[in-house]
Amino acid sequence: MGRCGLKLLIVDDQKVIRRSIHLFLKDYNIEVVGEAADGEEAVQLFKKTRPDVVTVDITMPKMDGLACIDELKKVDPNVRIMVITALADRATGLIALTKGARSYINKPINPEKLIKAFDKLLKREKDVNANSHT
Amino acid sequence: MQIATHDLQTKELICQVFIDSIHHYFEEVTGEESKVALPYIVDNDEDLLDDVAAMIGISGSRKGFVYFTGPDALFKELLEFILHDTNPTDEDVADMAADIANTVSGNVRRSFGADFMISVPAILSGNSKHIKLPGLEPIYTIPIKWRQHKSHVVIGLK
Repeated sequence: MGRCGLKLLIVDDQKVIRRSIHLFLKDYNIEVVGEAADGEEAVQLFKKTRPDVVTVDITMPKMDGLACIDELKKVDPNVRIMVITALADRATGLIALTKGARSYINKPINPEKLIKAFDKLLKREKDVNANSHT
Repeated sequence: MQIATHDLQTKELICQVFIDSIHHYFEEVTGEESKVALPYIVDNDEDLLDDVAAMIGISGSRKGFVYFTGPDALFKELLEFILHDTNPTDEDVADMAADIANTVSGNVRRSFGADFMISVPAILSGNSKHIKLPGLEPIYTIPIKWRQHKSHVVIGLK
């Protein structure tokens, strides 16, 4: 496990996206503990692997990303969820954040964009923790 | 084919939003510009499919389809660029096409809103060179060139 000491589950029906996220975070030293191609598989894998962070696509077969967020939050209300989706409208972003996603970024992704989003997610968390101790 | 002026303006607007989305895709993913030629109307039974095509069904405020089609070589070069994968499988190639179709179609919701609902991608490949698209005329195709590879986004919406 790496500098942030976190475990990651990647959820996306596109294999190229799962592989991209895995590759782009190679030097981030976050441990990828699983990959799921739909929401149902994600919930099963989540229960098994108990990751700290989950990247979730929205448009997926069987169970979409918004329903998946609900299910993951039932299992662990504190899980950090980053939505990575092609859906670029504000309304969907707001729904995801209201459901408890902590970050929402749009595809297409590249290494810089993804690392920046992870840095922001984890920095915000560090800041919140620091403030709660002061 | 007679097209009402307001329909034409709407179609032009739709094409422009897709053109912007295509440019954005290639620029974000590869850091390189894609070249997009003027969209044109295709006949229903015209050859539209290249080696691989990924289709997105559209529902909600509009109904129809969007698909992205291109040669194997385009998707293989993108896979090499993104993933350093020099030996992709047919499944990887299809997945690359699906990702482009999904991303380009999903990104246009920035302009069209959440009522422009998109399906998961379906892959069309093999020997089929024709696709029947009844009731969605006019069908627009947007020619794209990235590096030496030509591809198309085909849009049929009502």
